[in-house]
Amino acid sequence: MLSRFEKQIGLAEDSREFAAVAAARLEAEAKLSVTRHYRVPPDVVWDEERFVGDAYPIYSWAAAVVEVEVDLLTYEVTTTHLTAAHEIGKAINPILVEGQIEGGSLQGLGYASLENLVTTAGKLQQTSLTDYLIPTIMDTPQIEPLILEEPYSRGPYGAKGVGELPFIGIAPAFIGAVENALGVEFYAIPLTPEKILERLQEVEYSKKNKSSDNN
Amino acid sequence: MRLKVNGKWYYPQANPSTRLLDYLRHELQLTGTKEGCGEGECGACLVLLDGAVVNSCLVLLGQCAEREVTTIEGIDAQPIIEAFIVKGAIQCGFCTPGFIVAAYALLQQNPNPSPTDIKTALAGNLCRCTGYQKIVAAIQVAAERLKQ
Repeated sequence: MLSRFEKQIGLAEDSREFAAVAAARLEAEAKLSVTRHYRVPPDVVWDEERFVGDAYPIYSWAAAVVEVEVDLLTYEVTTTHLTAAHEIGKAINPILVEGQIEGGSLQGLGYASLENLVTTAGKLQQTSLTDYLIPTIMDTPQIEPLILEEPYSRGPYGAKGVGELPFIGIAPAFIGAVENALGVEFYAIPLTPEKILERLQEVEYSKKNKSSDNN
Repeated sequence: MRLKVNGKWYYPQANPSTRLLDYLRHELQLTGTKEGCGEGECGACLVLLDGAVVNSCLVLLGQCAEREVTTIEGIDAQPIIEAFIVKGAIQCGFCTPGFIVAAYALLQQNPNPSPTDIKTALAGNLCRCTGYQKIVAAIQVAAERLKQ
């Protein structure tokens, strides 16, 4: 806990003392709050009425690494480890940011591997959590969130933002990992065992056709 | 018929086919118990029935005659709640009461749970926001604190 606050606040002697006090109070009372105000700088302009201006003056950046094992008999894919690095300017509440990264990453993993959402004539076919599966605690790999901070001059205390960002990179990383394991490219998510089987059969079939053409 | 809720006897007039969840939330105003899916998939409505964890959306009031129901309001959840806050095990919070009831029941039975024990005990609770990792960590902290 202490090292986390030290990292957040900096290593100066007085701030280390502050971090120690803050960590001790959080441990003792399970709550700690600080109120500060932020005003958007005048040069960051966005007109909500006319949709004119710069709504997103800066981007946050993220990278994801997904490690998988593929069962060659059943084509079930197990994610063994997930690493997600996020450069978000400044993590004002690092614990909450880690939680956002972990939760968004797992949601992304569900999107990549499990969450089948099919519409027929505009109607969703999965109408309940019995049909629409999301990852449970048993499906969760170890998720390693990494927070990188490069303070942004126009944001509150250097912050840019984190929210939907953790979700975005996971599906491509997951597909890439399975492609790397099997040596075949995939073009659809969620990449269920059925889809892996179909794709492998397709590749096998086209290989056979090619070799028979050559003969 | 009568049932005990959080240590007090009640004599409900409601139809015995009322879901326990609805009786708790609407008749007794115990709104800490949440309705997520309403079909036993998500665990947001977990309560204890004679000390065992059940989905209150799948239990009928008539099944609770002469039995004891304990909700999130009736358990000593404070050490677990504090561990959830310190570890950041909450994002939106809707699933949290269900997780805390499940964690409480686990720690009653097993004061030294391994991460695998914790995961197994929480396998019936869905969370969309946290990624579960911090929930496991929080329950480990709560277990340590309860031992002291």
